[in-house]
Amino acid sequence: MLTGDVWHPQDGLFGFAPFIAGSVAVTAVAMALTIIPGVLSGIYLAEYTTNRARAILKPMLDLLVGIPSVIFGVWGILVIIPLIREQIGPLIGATLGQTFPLFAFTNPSGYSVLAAGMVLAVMVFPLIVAVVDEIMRSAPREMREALLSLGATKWETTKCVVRRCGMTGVLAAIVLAFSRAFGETLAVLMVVGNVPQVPQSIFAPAYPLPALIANNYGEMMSVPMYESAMMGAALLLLVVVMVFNITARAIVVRMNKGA
Amino acid sequence: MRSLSVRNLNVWYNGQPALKNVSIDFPSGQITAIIGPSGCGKSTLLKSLNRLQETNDQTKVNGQVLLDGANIYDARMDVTEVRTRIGLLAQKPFPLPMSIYDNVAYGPRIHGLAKGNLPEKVQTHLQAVGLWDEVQDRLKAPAVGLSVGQQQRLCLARTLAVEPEILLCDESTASLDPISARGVEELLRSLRGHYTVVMVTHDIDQAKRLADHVVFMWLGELVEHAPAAQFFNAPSHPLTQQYLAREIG
Amino acid sequence: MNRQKMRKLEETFFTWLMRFCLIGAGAILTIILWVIASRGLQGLSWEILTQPPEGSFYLGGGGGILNAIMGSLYLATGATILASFIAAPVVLFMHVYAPHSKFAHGLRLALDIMWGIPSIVYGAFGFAIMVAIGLRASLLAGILTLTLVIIPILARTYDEIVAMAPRDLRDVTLALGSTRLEYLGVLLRQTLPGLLTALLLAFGRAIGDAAAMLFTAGYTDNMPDGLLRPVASLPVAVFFQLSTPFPAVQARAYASALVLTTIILVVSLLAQWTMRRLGRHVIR
Ligand SMILES: Nc1ncnc2c1ncn2[C@@H]1O[C@H](COP(=O)(O)OP(=O)(O)OP(=O)(O)O)[C@@H](O)[C@H]1O
Ligand SMILES: [Mg+2]
Repeated sequence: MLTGDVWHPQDGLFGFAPFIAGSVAVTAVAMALTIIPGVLSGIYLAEYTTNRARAILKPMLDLLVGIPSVIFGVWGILVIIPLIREQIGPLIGATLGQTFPLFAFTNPSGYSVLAAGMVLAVMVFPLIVAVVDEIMRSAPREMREALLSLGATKWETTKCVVRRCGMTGVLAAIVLAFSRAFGETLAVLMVVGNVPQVPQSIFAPAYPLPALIANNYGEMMSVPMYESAMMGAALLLLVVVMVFNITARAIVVRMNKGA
Repeated sequence: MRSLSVRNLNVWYNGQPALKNVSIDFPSGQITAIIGPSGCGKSTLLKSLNRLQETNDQTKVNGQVLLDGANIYDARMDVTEVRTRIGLLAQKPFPLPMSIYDNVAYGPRIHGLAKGNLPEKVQTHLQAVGLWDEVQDRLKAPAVGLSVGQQQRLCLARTLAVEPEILLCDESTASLDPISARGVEELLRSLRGHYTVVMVTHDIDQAKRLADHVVFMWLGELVEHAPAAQFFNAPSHPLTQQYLAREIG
Repeated sequence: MNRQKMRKLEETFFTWLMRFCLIGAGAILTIILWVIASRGLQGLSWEILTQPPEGSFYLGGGGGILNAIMGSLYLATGATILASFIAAPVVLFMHVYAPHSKFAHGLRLALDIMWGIPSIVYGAFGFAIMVAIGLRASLLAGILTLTLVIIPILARTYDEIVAMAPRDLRDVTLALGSTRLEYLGVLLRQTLPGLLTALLLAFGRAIGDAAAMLFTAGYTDNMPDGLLRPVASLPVAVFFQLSTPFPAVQARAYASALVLTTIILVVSLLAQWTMRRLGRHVIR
């Protein structure tokens, strides 16, 4: 069931591979888009802003974390989908897409892995920023003063603090964001196209696990085994996300012991 | 040997004055000790001398600090260069979270000093602070594993390794046992003539042992500045007399 | 000298890169709010806010989303109250009787992991249990599922706030000869503003959650009319209205999204305001 790639519930075929691939693809695109800007922004917030600027930026960040996913979905439909359909898709398809099938603009609707990835990237961005900021702030002030006294530039100081104190924290932030993105349902469901196939291109539609559950659960219960297939999907999601969360915790615990 | 002088320096924390109109000339190649009761602004003064003070958000600095006649607070001055030329040894030893070797090598590395002969350079500076024999076979071990006294000497080696022209020491022996303290004192004494040293101390006897000149501060103001012999034998200001007699502070 | 220049250049480059990231993110988030606000305002009307849908609503007919607004308020309020009756006593007991025990440690770990579980999973398992005990999609089932979703948020937030209470409070109160139960009361009174903050945060999360509501609360065009009857909610309403092909209905989806965003922003701002007031009390 986990590896089968055919999804024909009526014939009793419940291959999960397209959905797992969809989840992984969407999450990977989101991570690729958001990790570097998120970490850099978190560092900037912690190291380069004055107290007054922080007092404004930090509450804004908290507000963003609270915005519900359906709102991000609406934004995705209103802004991201047309953007991909009319600008990004044709542009990348005509350039990178000619040589790499991964970037081929095969699906002119815009509802795609990339759309879901972009929406997710924006959703988990504040999460990464908040965790990185917290970790960086917990680095001792004396360390910065020692480095600056040696004539290090601010950026060299920051680099050293990240490398020596913040590495595990940054890793934890990434793992946490990954698990959040992996389990996100509605925002993804609204923009990903929902076609049960293993996506071959970032412009292809996909069908991640949470979307599968949301769309089909509670319906079609007359089909034999359907319900247990859905429960299986939910269980799979649960296990993956819990493994990621526990990994993130283990990283943080190890970091606290090391410090 | 560079000259360092302070002109009308004022520092505020959240609008509260911590240094009030301080002006001092630090004689080149000699050791100047700054003494005064806790909270009178000694650390603040030292940190203002290498522009570390301004990294504190709540602080405002106003005035001039002249290094060879050039104001280090001038907009055209490069902060990192100022901090490289004026080394500061902090009040509490803080080994960087890396190996003993890397602690000393960090400065020369970022400044591109000592291309190719970095290990020798590290060795020279560790020898200069008398740490080489104790750590030569665990150079790759984390520096936090050292004793506090060893840490302070490592920090001194680290500071000297960037080849500063002026050395600021903030109560560098306060956290040390008497024997390590003597070691660091010896070291500072050996720097006389090579560096202009400004040191803060709570220990009047230490100031007597080391200093060529003494500055006495009180509530953010400079009270008296005199050559050591004159300062201890014939202090002119009544506050200084009381402080030396352990009546105040 | 050359090296000096390189270091300067590197510093400038990365500073601007970081600034660029933060500004870019700020711009994107402004665009989100602006798009939601401008599109939402176009579809917003008094009728939408004050009436339930009429028969032809999903074909572009009359009516509004009052059913979803009220449904969301019922769901979130019910879940928040229920969750607070479970989470607050547990947190207080933990702090009074076993502040640093293995039990407390394990409980925090469990809550943190629960916090990370996607709400669709809560919805799926909630539904499975409902089916097993013969409950239909209803307000009650929705409240119960949402309660599970927000218990970790409420408990962990409140936990951190109680942990900020001065240590002396414990010693002083117990030294005065109070029983532990009386100390619990003192602690509750001391942290009441903090509990309010936690409640607001949990409420905000509850009202925005759609994935867990999809099968447990169901959906209906009627106003909420009973614990055992299906109930509409704002996020689900947005989702359903957007999946229709009619522009008029989609416009209402944008209006619903604006209503939802406004509620969430107001609740979050209130939470931050109470938090700031709380900070003042604890520090001074
Ligand atoms: N970060 C800060 N924020 C606000 N006030 C500060 C800060 N640092 C120092 N101060 C205040 O500035 C004054 C001078 O402090 P400073 O640390 O320079 O004193 P000091 O002479 O070095 O004392 P000590 O001998 O105890 O080290 C003190 O009144 C202190 O309370
Ligand atoms: Mg001091």
